[in-house]
Amino acid sequence: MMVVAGAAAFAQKITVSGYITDAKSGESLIGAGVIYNNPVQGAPLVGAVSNNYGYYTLSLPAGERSVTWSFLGYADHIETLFLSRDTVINVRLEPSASIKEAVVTARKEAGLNSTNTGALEVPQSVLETMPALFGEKDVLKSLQFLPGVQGGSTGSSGIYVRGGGPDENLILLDDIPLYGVNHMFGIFSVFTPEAVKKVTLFKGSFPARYGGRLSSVIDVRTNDGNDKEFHGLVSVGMLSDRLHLEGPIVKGTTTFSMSGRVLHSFLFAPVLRYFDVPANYYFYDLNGKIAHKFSNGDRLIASVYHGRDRFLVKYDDDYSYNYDDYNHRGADSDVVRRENTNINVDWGNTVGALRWNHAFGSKLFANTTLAYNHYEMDVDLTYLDYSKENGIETQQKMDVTYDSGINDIDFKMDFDYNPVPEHLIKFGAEYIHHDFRPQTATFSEKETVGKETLMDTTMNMSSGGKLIGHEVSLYIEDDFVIGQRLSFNPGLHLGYFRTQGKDYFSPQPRFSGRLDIGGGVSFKASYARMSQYVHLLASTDISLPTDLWVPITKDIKPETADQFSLGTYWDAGHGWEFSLEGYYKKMDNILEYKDGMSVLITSSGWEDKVAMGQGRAYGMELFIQKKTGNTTGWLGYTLAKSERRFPDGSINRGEWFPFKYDRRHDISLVVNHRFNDRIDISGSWKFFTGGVTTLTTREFTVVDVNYNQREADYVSSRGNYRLPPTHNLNIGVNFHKKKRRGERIWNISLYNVYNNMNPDFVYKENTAEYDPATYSVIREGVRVKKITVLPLLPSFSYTRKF
Amino acid sequence: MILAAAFVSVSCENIVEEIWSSDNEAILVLNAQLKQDDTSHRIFVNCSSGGRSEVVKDAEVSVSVNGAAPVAGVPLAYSRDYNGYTFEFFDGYEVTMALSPGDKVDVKAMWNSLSASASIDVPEACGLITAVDTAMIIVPAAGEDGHDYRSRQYSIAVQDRSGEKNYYMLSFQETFYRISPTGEILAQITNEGAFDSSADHLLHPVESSILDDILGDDNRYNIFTDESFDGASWTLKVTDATYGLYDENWVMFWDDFQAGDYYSMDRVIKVYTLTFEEYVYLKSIMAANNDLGFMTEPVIYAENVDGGLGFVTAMTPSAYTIKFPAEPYAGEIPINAYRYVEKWIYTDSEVPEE
Repeated sequence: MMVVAGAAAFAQKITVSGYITDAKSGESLIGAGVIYNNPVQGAPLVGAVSNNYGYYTLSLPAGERSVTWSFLGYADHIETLFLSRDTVINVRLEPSASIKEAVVTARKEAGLNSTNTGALEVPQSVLETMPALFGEKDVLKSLQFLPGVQGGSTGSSGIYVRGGGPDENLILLDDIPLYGVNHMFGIFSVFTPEAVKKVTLFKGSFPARYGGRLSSVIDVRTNDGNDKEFHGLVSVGMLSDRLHLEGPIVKGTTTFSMSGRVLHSFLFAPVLRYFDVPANYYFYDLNGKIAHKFSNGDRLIASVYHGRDRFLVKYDDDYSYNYDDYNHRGADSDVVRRENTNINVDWGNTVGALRWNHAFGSKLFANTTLAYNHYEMDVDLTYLDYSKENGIETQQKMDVTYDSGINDIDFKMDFDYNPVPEHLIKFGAEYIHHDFRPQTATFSEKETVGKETLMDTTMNMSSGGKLIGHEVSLYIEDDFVIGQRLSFNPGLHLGYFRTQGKDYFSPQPRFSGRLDIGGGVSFKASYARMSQYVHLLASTDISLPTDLWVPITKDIKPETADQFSLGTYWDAGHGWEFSLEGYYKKMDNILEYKDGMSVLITSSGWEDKVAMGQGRAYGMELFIQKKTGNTTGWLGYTLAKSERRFPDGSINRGEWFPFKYDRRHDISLVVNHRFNDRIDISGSWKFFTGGVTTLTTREFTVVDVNYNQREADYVSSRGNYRLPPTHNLNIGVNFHKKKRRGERIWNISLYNVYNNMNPDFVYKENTAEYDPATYSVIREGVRVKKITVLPLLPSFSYTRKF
Repeated sequence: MILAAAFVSVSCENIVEEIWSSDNEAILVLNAQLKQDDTSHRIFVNCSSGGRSEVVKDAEVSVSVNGAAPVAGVPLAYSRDYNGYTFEFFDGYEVTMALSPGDKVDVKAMWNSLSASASIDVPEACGLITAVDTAMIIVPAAGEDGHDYRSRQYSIAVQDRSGEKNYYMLSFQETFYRISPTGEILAQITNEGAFDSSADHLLHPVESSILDDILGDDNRYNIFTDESFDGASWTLKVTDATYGLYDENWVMFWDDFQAGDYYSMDRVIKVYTLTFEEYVYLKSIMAANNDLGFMTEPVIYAENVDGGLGFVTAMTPSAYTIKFPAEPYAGEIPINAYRYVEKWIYTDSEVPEE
């Protein structure tokens, strides 16, 4: 059923509002449609969509009116209302295998029929069935299969959207921006799949309420919890175990939802110690949420996320001996000598948020959020060298600590105002207090012989102490429709950032428009200006704990991007959708390491190590999607180009060069097929052009102003070598079996089915050929080598839902 | 560990491509940094072939100004004996000629069948030194050996030409004199040098850490732009650099001093106007110091040579001379010699070594 929202002139308007929820779990449904079934043939039709908290509001003429509530995967709920005054109607939709979806053109935020360009949702069903590396389903990796979105090295959850960098994505967990979104060097993202309710990606036009990053917004919403009965899930995979529990604390009013995930190696720690394995690594995630409904208009939601990566090394050595028995170890030896080394690297996020939903009457909905966001990385290394000979004790002790972190306090208020059916106005304000601690290190050493102290020194190294930033933003946007065919979403995001006594003010206009020409065909155009106030300093392509988030400073200006998008879309019916979208993105003040620079060792003076420059990215994205039926999936193709230029000449002589993740072609194919209630199969195939790296091609000589000559590597330009393409096929099969309570699922996956040797990591080494007789060099050169970390990998997981 | 072992056991390493630099054809590398205030210029010629770049000592080098007859470069080859060893040196090709701002200079090198050339313009001096002030300061115990030391600080006011983006380099040239009691100059030695600019916020905008210092000074050429004072005046604050006084024969200049001699010094402070390409080129040379392998971004040098590689440029200074008055030589190396160390200041507990 296709319904187009339109303008209607009603003499007396009554507002119907309320929450739309899942009838079985009570979970709020985001993006569910509410449609007025106007009996007049050809009359403008009216509809609304539930917001991020499942709340909707719809104005209708007084009298007897038929209204339909609907959502993909749920049976329609149709009710005839006798409207004489504003009415609250909370609707619970029954899950169904129905392939119908009521679509309300002007109110959907993502998808073909939304006003926004480049806005896509990853269906939860796809996320659940997509084949996964090691059987570990991953939200961010599923996004990599969407057009315009690229991953880093194979298997990593890095995200590069429309020619942007990895730090240009605003990744929101229930509205709170996350800094560290990866575990295990980027192989896993921090999102526990069971906790996630909805994922929306914006990469073209950005609704005005979003700001702070240049290239994309990834809006992840988590479950509130079942308000009727207790449910849960246990999953055991090859690498991690997951547990999810949810249910009512007080039926109908108070719910909880909690999820946890931990790497197996966490449980193996005692075993590793027993076998003298000196090191261990693990990560874990914990999500928790409690939601309480005070009344139809008031809800309070408290949520917390805590995730950590830990790398531990404990190494003890005993070199004690007796003069006449070298192998005698122990405290009673003639010469006692022991070394103890402990290394503890610990990094991760903690996010806590308190939300209050309040409906002011039936037309104004407010959400107030107070959140705390903490990211930190700590390294602690201790080394003790103890010896005792002839009663004299000697000790050398070293202690090295390295810390970095961010503390954000975030307060925001968001309002949805629906004054008339044609307009949905969203406005709000946000204040974030950023407290950055980029780097603090201490080194202490103490050496004693007997009671005498030979050395006792402590050295502190800091990259400048705390950096405080005050970020304020105000926004307003109006999603409005004109007649049956036109819809617009103009908006303005006003950003302000204050740091180191300097103020940055950034007005960011946004606009998107949609024209429906009938037959399911529509055109969209959009413009968005974005600003970014924080940067990620990372020296390598993989996600390392030493990567540092730093704010803009008095010398480093905010990055900005202006993006234009244009597209044509066709809803072909029966769940088939086609889109072709083009974009041009111009970026200013973007940062890149200057020639010869790195911050892996020290971030101090980072401002002097980066250059501010320009970027441009343009491309075309084709997306063909089948959304309903037993066979679903999509085909995506991206043709793109992304370049950088730094006019100050500190990089590549000031000339344009390809961005590290510039990839000309990207093809993604995702297919899921449900044979019956017991078996479904899914496959994904990805191909993308290799990125670029820089190679030294010969040696030459440079001379400075003092006539000092030296041999140097000659590099023609940055990014002068194109790496080979990556492609791999993944297949997964799910075997379901209904149990008396719940369901059992076995998943068997094959990653990289045809064992393609993809360049997951690439490095260069000097090489030479020698004359076997004389050992003289015949020829010298550079060898480019690739490491395929992920060849054909089978995996399985067992999941029990109850 | 189990995880790491799993990854290591399944990972495979393959060669993508081998690029043999030995297959590179021979090509000339031509380098020159011409200073407008000097009449003696150096041209450097190398040959890059295979995986090496080697000095070419028998090239034909010529320089032509404004289309006039070319002047041939003379190879500067010499040897020096030191501690019983003979060292061979080759300092490029010397070309003697005067240059003026606005001149068009053609530099050419030929060797065997190879040739390389570059055409450049001599820039005008866009930054003028309008005033220089000096003062002695005491640098507290951060100095070498943990001692306080005295140093000469210079405040150098530079007036920028407005309406254009300009690039500069601060340096000095000093001539040290040995003077007889009758006022006759007995010997003199001239050095080019660079100030210690670590305390100047324009030349060193960010405070460096211990680790940065290990990686090397990040602006040893003291180059800067007018970005923060376009068309206005800016005062640089620098101090004397630390290096010894040697003549060309590696003999301490002071060794020849006799009781009754005088010494004096002329210091010419220069702010060279650089081309943008030269500014970038010097930055690249400094950046190459930080090479940490794959963790470091590659360095890409400016180049402007036709038929070869390398970089040829010219720079023009604005100069300001300070003449220090003659002082009597007291029989030992004077600690008050306008240089970086005027006098060691010892604390009560420390006794200087004899």
